[in-house]
Amino acid sequence: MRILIAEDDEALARFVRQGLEAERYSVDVFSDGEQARNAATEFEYDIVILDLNLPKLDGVSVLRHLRSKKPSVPVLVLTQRTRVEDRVQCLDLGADDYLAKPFSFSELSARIRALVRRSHLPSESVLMAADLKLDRVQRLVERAGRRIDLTAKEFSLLEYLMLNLGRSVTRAMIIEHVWNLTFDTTTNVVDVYINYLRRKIDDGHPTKLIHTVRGVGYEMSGPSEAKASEAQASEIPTSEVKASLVDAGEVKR
Amino acid sequence: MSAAGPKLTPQPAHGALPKGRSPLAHLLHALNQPLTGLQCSLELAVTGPRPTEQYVRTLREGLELTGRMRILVEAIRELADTQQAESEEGEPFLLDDLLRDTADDLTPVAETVGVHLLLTSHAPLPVRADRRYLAALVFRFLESALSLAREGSDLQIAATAEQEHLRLVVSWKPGRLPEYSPFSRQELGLLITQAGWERSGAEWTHTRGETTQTCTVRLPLASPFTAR
Repeated sequence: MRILIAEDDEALARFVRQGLEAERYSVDVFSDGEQARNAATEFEYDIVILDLNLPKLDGVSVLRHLRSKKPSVPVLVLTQRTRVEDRVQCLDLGADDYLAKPFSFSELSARIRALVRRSHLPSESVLMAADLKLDRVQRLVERAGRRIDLTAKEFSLLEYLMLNLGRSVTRAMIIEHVWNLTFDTTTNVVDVYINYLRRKIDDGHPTKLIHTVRGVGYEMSGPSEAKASEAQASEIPTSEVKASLVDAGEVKR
Repeated sequence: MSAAGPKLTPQPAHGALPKGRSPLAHLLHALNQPLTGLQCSLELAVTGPRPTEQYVRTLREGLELTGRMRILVEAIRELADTQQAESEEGEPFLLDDLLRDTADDLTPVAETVGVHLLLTSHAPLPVRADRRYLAALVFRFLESALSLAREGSDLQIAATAEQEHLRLVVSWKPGRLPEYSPFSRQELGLLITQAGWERSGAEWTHTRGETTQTCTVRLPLASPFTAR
């Protein structure tokens, strides 16, 4: 897996490179927009991480160029801004995801894994995880042939987890994609909804599908990974959810 | 000492920023504290060889201080962005619908902390604004208030039409003062909310009583016939 990083801050680029190399990615770093554009056009990358504020050629121009030449390569934009409109603008320009600085390495790493996976997935209207089925068109969910009623928010949350089957997603990713918010929430709204979803999806089934990934977020196990034994350990008791509500900001990360 | 006795420094109300500076200036000032802590901690760590546990402790403290700085930096950036941004007119929509949806969204969260979320709203309450922006703003407003409310108390949300304005009143009984108050994520959330409402053309007041805090938003209503 080969990653291009376009980042002019040397220290930040070095840390990110070290972290990604430790995760067995092959990483090329470019410190200006021209170099990044040329390399991204000439060579094959599995993902491009693009800072928007680059010398010589800004990130938006690199992104536009890349989209015209390599429409399918996933691009994760790094930026200083967090407003909803900035995020929408980036996505409209063709970025696949958006991460505001300052960020944690675990957040970046989770987003890269999700992007790489997404780029290899066909856009299916019916999503499956073991005996769980979600029909995105009919808006129906079934487990072991039994229909499950979900609220609109629970449906969106389950859909997002299933789109990232077998890959961890962070709470920030969930908040962005399911709630369409670009700030860290002050409550544990994600944990509460995950607990609701677990009750509807996993209760009464020996194989649990929704897992907590400590220090990262949540993951829905794929067909071969659904392990009943992990399930009990991954459940968050209601009392724990309650205790973590106050100033959940950094604790939940 | 004067004949009138010692002068007392006025204390800010529960969770309020001291007066005299802009919120942005307060946040920048607040950034100095964890930054200084981090610098001292790192300087001490490199002065000579130490047991491994001490390095690990330094790193843990550094991460905690970085977490605090991150909250402040994000708030500074959001405040600066909000203050600079031009207000977008947008299409008319019903704020009562948006309030109901957001309250529904947060009700399960309120239940986990034993706060009763009580919404009363006139209908229809059409406003003209960027709906997506206001949806995020209302969520943050109610969520911040919810996080600050005392367990077992009510979070009251009342939206009424008053002539050509909408009046949104959110009140709660505050719980324990959050850690790092008045620079906790919850209180900063309210501060950013205030800037957001003001950017949207609303008037904002925040009153801190002995037992209750109340935030009031007054926003012009749009014509009810054009709302979707």
